[in-house]
Amino acid sequence: MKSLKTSMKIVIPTLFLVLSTAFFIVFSAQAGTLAAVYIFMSRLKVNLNGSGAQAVQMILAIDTATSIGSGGTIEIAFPDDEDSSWCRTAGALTVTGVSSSSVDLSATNWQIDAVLPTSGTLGATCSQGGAGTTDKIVITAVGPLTAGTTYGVQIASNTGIIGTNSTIGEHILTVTASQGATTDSKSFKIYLLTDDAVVVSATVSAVPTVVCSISTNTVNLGTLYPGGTYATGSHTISTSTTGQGYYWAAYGTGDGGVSTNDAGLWRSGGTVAADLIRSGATATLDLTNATISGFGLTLSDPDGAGSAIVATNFSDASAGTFGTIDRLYAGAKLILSQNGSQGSAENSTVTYGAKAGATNPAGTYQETVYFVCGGYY
Amino acid sequence: MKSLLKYNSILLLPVIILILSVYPVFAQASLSIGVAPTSKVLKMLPGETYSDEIVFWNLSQDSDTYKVFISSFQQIENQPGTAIILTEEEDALAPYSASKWITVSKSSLILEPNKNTRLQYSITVPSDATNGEFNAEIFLISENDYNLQGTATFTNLAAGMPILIQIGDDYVQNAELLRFVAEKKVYEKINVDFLTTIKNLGDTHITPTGEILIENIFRQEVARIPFNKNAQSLLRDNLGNYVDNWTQSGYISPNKAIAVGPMKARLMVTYRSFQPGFAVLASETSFWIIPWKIIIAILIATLLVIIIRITKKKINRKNEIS
Repeated sequence: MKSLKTSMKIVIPTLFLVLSTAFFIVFSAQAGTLAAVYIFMSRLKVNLNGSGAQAVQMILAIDTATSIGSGGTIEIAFPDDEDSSWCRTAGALTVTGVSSSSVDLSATNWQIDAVLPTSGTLGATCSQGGAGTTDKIVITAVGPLTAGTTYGVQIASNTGIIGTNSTIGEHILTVTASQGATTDSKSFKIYLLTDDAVVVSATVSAVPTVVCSISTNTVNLGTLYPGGTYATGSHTISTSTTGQGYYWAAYGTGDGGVSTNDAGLWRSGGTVAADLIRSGATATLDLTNATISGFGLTLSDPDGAGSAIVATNFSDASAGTFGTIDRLYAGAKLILSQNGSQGSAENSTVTYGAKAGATNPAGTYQETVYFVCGGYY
Repeated sequence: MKSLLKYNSILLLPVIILILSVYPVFAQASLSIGVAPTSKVLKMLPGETYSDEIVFWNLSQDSDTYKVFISSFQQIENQPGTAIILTEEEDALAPYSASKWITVSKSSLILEPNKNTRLQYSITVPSDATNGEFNAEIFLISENDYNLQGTATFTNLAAGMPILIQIGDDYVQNAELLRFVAEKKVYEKINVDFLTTIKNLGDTHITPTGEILIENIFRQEVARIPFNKNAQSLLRDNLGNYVDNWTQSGYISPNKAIAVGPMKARLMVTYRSFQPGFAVLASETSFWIIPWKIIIAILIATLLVIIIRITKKKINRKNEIS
């Protein structure tokens, strides 16, 4: 009995102590999750130093789950192992309330409803992390935040400089809104890219060039027999470029708009549709098919599995199948293109295929194909 | 006299045959043109004049004559970064044509072999030009001297320098992502083409850039490929189709993630020259990589092992019974 009393003397105060502490913990920290939050950064490129052309700004949209009293703070904490990369220089930042952003999702709580209120003058500082601490942006003098309202604020560098980390990919940020014992926070990821903009330099150190050549301006197709096999003739085109890549396009003149207004071999002095061995309305022509006649061309791949690509319709993979072309500039079709520079010329063989139809009268048929070559702009 | 006539007819016959069998002869020549620079982007103000030159050269053995055209241009088959001039009628109706602003020093050029030829040009922006981007191309088309005999195809070569002229500082850069998909839903080998279509809604050209992140079913990063590696620009009021290829020889990525099964690709594209992060185009697509030949081989091998084991067991039982 004595031992029971002794035990009770220890157990009851301990239990009381634990319960009262728990009561304090529960009611002293109303930690919740933010109802909605996003950070919209002006730059997504890795390793920006935050100065000049590399300046980074961000828009924070925040909707708390619980209402937070006036005089609080909002903190943006960056990953612990990325110290001094987000906050390149510690110091004051420029902070302005904003009422909208271009990524707002209308009619949701991901849409900014109001500018971030202030209890005096909004201030923001950027502080660098160290052992056990992180880079942080802290906004002070925040006014009362009502749950269900999304507030917007824009932060830009001032004496404090915002940059970006040097690692491509996802980075976890934690945004915390607090005032006294009330705290709402949420962690989410942002993504950094290798590059987010094409820099146009005012000084061009090396002028990009493109050189395009055609081995011959005339290809004899021999004699075409109605109902006979198809005839072929070929030449090569070659290209080199110091720029971002090159492309070739082709168009024909065909009947000169006299009959069907199509490209193809046109009989000298012709006036009617039968005087044209048409390049046809379909993308390709299978001239091995006895019922099909017409005119088309194929190209060989200059570098096999390399970066030069022959347009699918003009591939020479299937013998006897030729890609069709159209008339004049508006009918220009892309036939060959390449990603990236090509220091020395590489060749592609252009093969023309032609087959006369039963209705085509005897005569001399000709077509002039225009090859347009250029470097990507 | 009769014998003479006979001889004449014998002599004439081969001559007639030779004349009739003359094969059409074509004057063949090679064509070549080099251009520098390949394009030009200018920022100008109303009333301003800009003068410069384009250098052309010819690496063939023959002199070639080229006619100079100045016209507004369009993209070829929605392919960003390409240019083909408009016809005179189309150019007259083109709302963003700057062809009337440009004058050149020559209307035709003779490009001598292995010799640089300069073409001076001048651009004068009208004082009432509105803000936004205008375009024109100084374009050369060869004029060939081929003989028109026999059934044949003749070729002409054309090249030029597209010029994009931005007027004023207040222009809008805006774009919409219309499509981001893998070309096929199922692949056996890793050779995936991602097809992206972007519409330029602004009043200047844009050069979208970004990345495609590919993840496996375990959300592990398998690959990250650049979007629009060539930095191909998209003209205002135009659609652009971009193709980005992901090729990998094996099914294990360099960071040891497996690239088999359902895959997810995430596209992130930026296009603004100022604060590009404030205008991100993003989308996701999914596809499968199923190395079915390897899977069938494994299944057959497993089946064979099972059959062999069962057969062995049966033989052993028979032996035990007997």
